[in-house]
Amino acid sequence: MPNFSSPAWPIASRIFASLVGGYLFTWGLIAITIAGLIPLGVEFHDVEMGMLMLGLLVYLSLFLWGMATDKLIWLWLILFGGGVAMTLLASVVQQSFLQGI
Amino acid sequence: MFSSFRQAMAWLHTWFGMTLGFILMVVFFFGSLSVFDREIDRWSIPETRFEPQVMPSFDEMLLPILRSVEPNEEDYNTNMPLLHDLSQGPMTPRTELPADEFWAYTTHRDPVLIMGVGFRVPQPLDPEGHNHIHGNITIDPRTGKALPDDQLKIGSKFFYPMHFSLNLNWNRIGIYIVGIAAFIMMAALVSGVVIHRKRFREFFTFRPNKQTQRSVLDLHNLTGMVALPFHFFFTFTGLLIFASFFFFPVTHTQLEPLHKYHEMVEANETGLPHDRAGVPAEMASIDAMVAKAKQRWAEKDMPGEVGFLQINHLDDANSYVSIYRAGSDRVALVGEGMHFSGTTGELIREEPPRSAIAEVEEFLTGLHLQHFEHWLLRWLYVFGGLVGAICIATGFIFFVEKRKRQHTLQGSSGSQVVDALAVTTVTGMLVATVSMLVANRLLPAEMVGKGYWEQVVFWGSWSVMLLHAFWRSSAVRHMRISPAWREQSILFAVLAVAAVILNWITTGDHLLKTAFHYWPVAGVDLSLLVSSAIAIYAARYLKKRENVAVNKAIEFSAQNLEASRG
Amino acid sequence: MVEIVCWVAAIFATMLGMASLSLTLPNHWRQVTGIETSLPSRSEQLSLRILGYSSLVVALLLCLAADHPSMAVLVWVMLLSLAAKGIATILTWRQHWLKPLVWLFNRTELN
Repeated sequence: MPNFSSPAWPIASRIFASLVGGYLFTWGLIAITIAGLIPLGVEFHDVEMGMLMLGLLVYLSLFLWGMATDKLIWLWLILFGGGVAMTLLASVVQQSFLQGI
Repeated sequence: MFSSFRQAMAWLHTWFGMTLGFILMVVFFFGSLSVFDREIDRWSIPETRFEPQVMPSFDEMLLPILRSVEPNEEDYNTNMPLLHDLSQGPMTPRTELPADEFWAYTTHRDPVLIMGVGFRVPQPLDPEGHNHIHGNITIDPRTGKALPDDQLKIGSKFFYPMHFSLNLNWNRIGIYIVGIAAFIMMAALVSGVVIHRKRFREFFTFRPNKQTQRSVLDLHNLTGMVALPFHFFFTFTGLLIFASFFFFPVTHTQLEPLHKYHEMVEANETGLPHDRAGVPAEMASIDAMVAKAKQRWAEKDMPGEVGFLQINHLDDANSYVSIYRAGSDRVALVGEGMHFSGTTGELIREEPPRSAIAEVEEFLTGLHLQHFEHWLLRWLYVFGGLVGAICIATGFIFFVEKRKRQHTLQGSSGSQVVDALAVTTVTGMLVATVSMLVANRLLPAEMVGKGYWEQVVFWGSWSVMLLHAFWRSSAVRHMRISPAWREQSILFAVLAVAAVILNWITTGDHLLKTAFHYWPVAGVDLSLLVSSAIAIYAARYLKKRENVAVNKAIEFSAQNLEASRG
Repeated sequence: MVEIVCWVAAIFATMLGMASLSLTLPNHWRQVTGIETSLPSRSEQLSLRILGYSSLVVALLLCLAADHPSMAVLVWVMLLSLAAKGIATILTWRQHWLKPLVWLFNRTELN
């Protein structure tokens, strides 16, 4: 049984949320942007490359923010909630676009 | 938890840097060596010490050789059972697989020509997949003679992959480890600037005569700041190169359907056939296509030689030939690809001008992959990489210097462990590298599995250095400098000179000769000698410092004794 | 051959630029003059800064003369790092090499 009151706990939670949550959020952002822009006629590799470049910087900023913020709850909510929401939405958008052709 | 942003950044910088820094040390050092990977190849395989050539006649020389290549046995044994559909009958025997794809690759730094064949799996499990078994060959482009391919290209096949994958190939885990370390490197750079932002006022400061903790911090800040653009851009572009396949494979997993759809649209636009027609056909002259491609490049005001050539859907009515320019005169890897019909030799597609995003991306990856011809910039990259290594190494030493007193008083061995690992990743890594070069010259060229034994020597000597570093590290607990630093420096210096002498004895190439005729080998020899001289200097300096530290350590234990009595 | 001349000139120009810029920082100014209390005056700082940045611009032009622009920018950025490291090394062990620069702008302090 983990000891939640140990001083190691908040730091472990913070690192996990920043690294994994930040990754998930970035993934979602890249996915939703690609899935959203392709139907608008933007060139595939342009969106992909642009989003990978931007994504790395977004991930870096999220990670640094996560390591520094006081509001751990918000950190969890935004990164995991936002990440999952955008990822799911991307799949929905992709499916409806490909079905529409 | 942290009282300020700056404090959070300091925590991150210290602890992530301390844990992943050891990986980054390997990445920066072997990355620096990779700048001259082909030169190290020439040094380690004396049969290939000749000048780079332009791509020879494809029809006359390369085609007959490619036709004789057989599928690689190991590749067949591992991948054939995975790709083949057993329900359609037994596996096609290895030597009867039909060739589907030919390619040839040359660079301005490679005297040898690398070629390969992709063999088709006739009854694949997944007809949509990339169903290829490969067979590669390296030849001497002057004669067409096959060069033994079983010798390890130490530069481009060991040191170079070391810097992005640590040569840990199980499930590509090395690439992911390096990826996380590189990401933390970016975070460490930003946090480092946040913590030390006041230091910009004394930008050029290094005070070697202050106490170790102070002067090491000076050097850490100085090396971090002067090469900050290099550090950031190389880390960022390194991640970018691997991003789409490894770190954010969004379009290869979740959005794979969208990607497939795009490929289909693109294939329609380009007119390049995606699949074989299944109708056998004769191939037209490839040399004529090469001549046409060169003419088109010259017309576009970028004359050049062929760097990469690939024949797709070989001997089929749908075959096409893609010819790319060797990008040696600019940063971006622009191939200016020309695609020809394989059966008629007609130009069917010329790659259109790139979009702005593609240009940025090609510049960024090009600046990291450095296929260009520019010896000054190459040396400047080596400088940048080594400055990065100094920055990381001084980070460890600062960590140890700051904490060793406290750790000793608390009976913790933390700084002792970090110091031993720092020795292993600084001097130990140098010893391992140069041991491999010595082994390369000592083991006979015709030895079976020579490359394997060279790797054994590399990892073996590195492990011995690790044990040695831990064995000698108890000095740190007594507030002294671990003698392992000095001893491994001396060992490195001796081995580096030995490598140069062995190169002379086994190949007859000594510096007076190579310096005038063959710079790739002269450069490696000279670098070894200079490194050796620096290591000797460092060892002597460390000896002096060790003596000073002994006096301090005696003082410290006297104080300690008093404190425990009082 | 022309490009080698350009590169060597660019190396010197970046060194000069970094040296001038280093002297605008009070710590390094004191290191070179050797006088604890001495400070660069406003006008000295300004002229050093102008000399510093214009040398760096000259270096960029020299790099552009030698190479394709995309390559030249990389060479220039890397030369800036090299020069910064070089000037730091000079300030550590050979401060007096920079005295002519101080002397150029300030004739009273050194005599």
